[in-house]
Amino acid sequence: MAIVNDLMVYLNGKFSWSLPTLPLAGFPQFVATLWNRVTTNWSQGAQVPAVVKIAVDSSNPLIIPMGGGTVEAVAASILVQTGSSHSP
Amino acid sequence: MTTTLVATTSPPATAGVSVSATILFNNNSVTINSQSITDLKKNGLVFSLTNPLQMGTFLDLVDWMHGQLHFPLTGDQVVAYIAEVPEPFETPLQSLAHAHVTLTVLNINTKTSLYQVAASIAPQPPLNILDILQVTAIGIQVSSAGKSTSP
Repeated sequence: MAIVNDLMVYLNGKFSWSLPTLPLAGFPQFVATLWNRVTTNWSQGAQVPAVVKIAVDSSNPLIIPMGGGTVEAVAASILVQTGSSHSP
Repeated sequence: MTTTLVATTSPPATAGVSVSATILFNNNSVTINSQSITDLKKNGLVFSLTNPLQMGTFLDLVDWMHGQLHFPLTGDQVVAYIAEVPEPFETPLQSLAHAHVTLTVLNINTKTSLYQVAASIAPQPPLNILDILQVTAIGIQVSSAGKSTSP
């Protein structure tokens, strides 16, 4: 089982990128929450798909702050594009 | 009312990493993507609507914003306010309130919690007011600052 942070660490190592990783001090709380979510179609050591799905559902929602309220996310994904030399 | 986010299948056009989700609004899927997470610490995740989308009526939109964003009015309140408007304006306004809307802008900044929602309303047939004014479309924009305008 891997979490989003594991994916970022993996991508940093594989592509020499500088993606943020935990503990994410000074980052918005939502980002830290997202980085701790489990990925459902990628595990450490495996090839990274273009769309990495995140374990979010109605019983385990991801709360997105929006104005004075929130939007409940029950699924979300990380999009990964590695096709050029450009570093994020 | 159900609001759901589901994964999208479109990776970013250039190399990088972004976050994507889709809101279900009245059973309509609304895909929102973040920018590349390059400046994530500085900017946070900012989601934006990828394509305009037809979704429910104006009153449905108001109810959604009321439920999700603490927008101060409900659809029923809008209908009640319009009912107080004298003819010949009440009927076209009621028609407008029940017209279908196209969501054109949805921006959510997860760092600041600021948002923008914009939609266009195109009543069919176009509204005639006093036979001198024909309304074919109206735009509405609501931001987290609470300001509502009709561009």
